[in-house]
Amino acid sequence: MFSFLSKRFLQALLVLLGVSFATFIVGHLTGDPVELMARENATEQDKQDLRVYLGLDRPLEQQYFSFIVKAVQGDLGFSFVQQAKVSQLIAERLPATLQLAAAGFLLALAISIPLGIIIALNRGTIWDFLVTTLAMAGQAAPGFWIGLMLVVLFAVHLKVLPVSGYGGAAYIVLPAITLALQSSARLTRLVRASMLEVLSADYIRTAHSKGLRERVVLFVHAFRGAMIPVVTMAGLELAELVSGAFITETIFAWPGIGRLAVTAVSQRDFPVIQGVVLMSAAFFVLINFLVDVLYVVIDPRVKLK
Amino acid sequence: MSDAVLSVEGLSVDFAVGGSIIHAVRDVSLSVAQGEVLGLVGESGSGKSVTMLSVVRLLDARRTAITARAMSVDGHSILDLRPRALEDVRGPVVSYIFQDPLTALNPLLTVGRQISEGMRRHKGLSRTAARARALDLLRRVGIPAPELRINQLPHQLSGGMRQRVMIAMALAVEPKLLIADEPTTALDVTVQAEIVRLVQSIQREQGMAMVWVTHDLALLARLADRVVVMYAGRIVEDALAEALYDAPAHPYTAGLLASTSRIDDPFSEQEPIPGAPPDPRVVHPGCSFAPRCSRAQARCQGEVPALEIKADGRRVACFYPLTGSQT
Ligand SMILES: Nc1ncnc2c1ncn2[C@@H]1O[C@H](COP(=O)(O)OP(=O)(O)OP(=O)(O)O)[C@@H](O)[C@H]1O
Ligand code: SF4
Ligand SMILES: [Mg+2]
Repeated sequence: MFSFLSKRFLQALLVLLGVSFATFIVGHLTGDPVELMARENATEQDKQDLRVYLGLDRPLEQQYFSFIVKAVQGDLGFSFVQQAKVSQLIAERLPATLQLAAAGFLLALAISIPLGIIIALNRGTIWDFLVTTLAMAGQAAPGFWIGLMLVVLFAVHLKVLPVSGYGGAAYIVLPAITLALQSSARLTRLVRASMLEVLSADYIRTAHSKGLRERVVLFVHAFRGAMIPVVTMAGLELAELVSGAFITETIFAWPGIGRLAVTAVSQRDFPVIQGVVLMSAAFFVLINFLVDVLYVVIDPRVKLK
Repeated sequence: MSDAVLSVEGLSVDFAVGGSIIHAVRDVSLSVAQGEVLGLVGESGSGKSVTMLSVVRLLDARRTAITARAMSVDGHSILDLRPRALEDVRGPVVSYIFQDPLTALNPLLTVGRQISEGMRRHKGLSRTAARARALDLLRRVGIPAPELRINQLPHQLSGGMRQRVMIAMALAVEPKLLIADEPTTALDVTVQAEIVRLVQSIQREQGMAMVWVTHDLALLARLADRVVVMYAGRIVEDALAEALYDAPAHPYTAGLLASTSRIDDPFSEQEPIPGAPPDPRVVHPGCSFAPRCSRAQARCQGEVPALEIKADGRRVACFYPLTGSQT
């Protein structure tokens, strides 16, 4: 078990290093930030001074090396545009993003796991058909469209929830639902399929032949095996919710990382871009690592391989 | 037949698959007495497993129609039982040993857990008491180092050991009827004989009734008191083992005997029965063995032969049997 997880941990570090390198290179290929930052009447000398001041005159590999060394210490550099530490900008926005992602994720799990199990147990009925069709439609509909429709219905017509913004609990409802709907559409179908597959396994028949209670067969013998693919997918969904929330954040004016990234891209503020990408990647890697840990807990065969 | 542990009358099982209906079992009647070992043979697809799974309704009720004039296990009328009552019968009254222990055991639960859970459910044993008994059972079925094995997962065991675990699991609740559905088919030849001997010795000690499902008539010669032969979902012959081997009455039984190596004469000529079993979706107007039967006559095409009791107590479904045709 230890060797399995430590191998995964090393892999995770390598991924992070790769991502940081890629973002660093891409960031430097998209244009010279000094041109954007310098005052309009700045001379060549002024610009060169700025470059030296920012360390942009050094060879690329040196810049990258110092970037990494600082990043490990939590220093992601300084935003040229916003005149603030990148780490501070991210720290300001992170709680909002995490709140939204957590709310959306928990909602998605709360919908998809029971629903998927229920329709698997009632396969072939009208409920199975309705839910499966709805889930397919939900998967096909773009997230921003669902978000806008929710706003029109609940905020504009019914006026029971705020249109957008950040504040009390009421503000998180619509964006969380928007995030959760697509995730739960995917997860519900996966839970259903996975549950059906496990339920048709020979060992479920064995469990029945022992006269175990139906709920024991379901939750001790079937549920655990059925969750193995679901955990992987849920991990990806969560990573997606954290790193891909910018559309929802934009629609609902949610002051999270997503909006920070959108602004930074349009301003070519690459320390911020790098920081955000690196942080998203770190999240991705962290969640994947947690998925691996969960695997070992659910499927004891893993640790023996 | 008041001492029958299992008594089935007129059992039919149909599956709805796609647009068609598979008649897997047709009008099967049989009984197993206390302490009796019944062998159930027939080619692949003849309905052996489906018959035996119907005994405690282990088939998927959504796609399966089970009908019977009467079916009782140890006095419980199976088709009338509510789900809860059925759960009480599964295990302590009827236990199963399935063909492939690798797929029949839960890959995520330890051996000990899987042996214990039936005892905890039916005998109300505590966790520690059930574990202690599971250790005993593992020892009894001949698993070395049971203290180690009890905490392992099925895939850490060899095929033979897995089947021993299955056996321990089935024995744990001391069933009145043990149904072994081809328990050795998935195993190495060298292990097969050991497992057969193990099950046989346990059956003798325990004195429980048993149904042994197999393709292999030669194997049943050593094991079974009585043999029931199935063909295309029906019973075609039911006789005491000795009588059946000495003088098969049904042409299909005779064909099966000719196609298996006999225990008393392992080097005799083996000739397979020509042709293939019929499509289980089709309802035949006549004897379903007629297309492959060398004794078939006009009557066999238009009429289904009933399973009749002959003078010596054997039952045969054939208009022109090889023996006892005087009835
Ligand atoms: N769950 C099922 N759904 C549909 N058809 C089935 C199902 N189980 C069995 N059958 C069909 O019923 C018939 C009898 O199958 P059964 O498994 O009882 O045969 P068997 O005698 O046990 O054969 P084998 O020796 O191969 O195990 C076969 O035609 C099979 O295809
Ligand atoms: S009834 Fe006719 S076809 Fe059927 S087994 Fe007997 S002789 Fe053969
Ligand atoms: Mg079978």
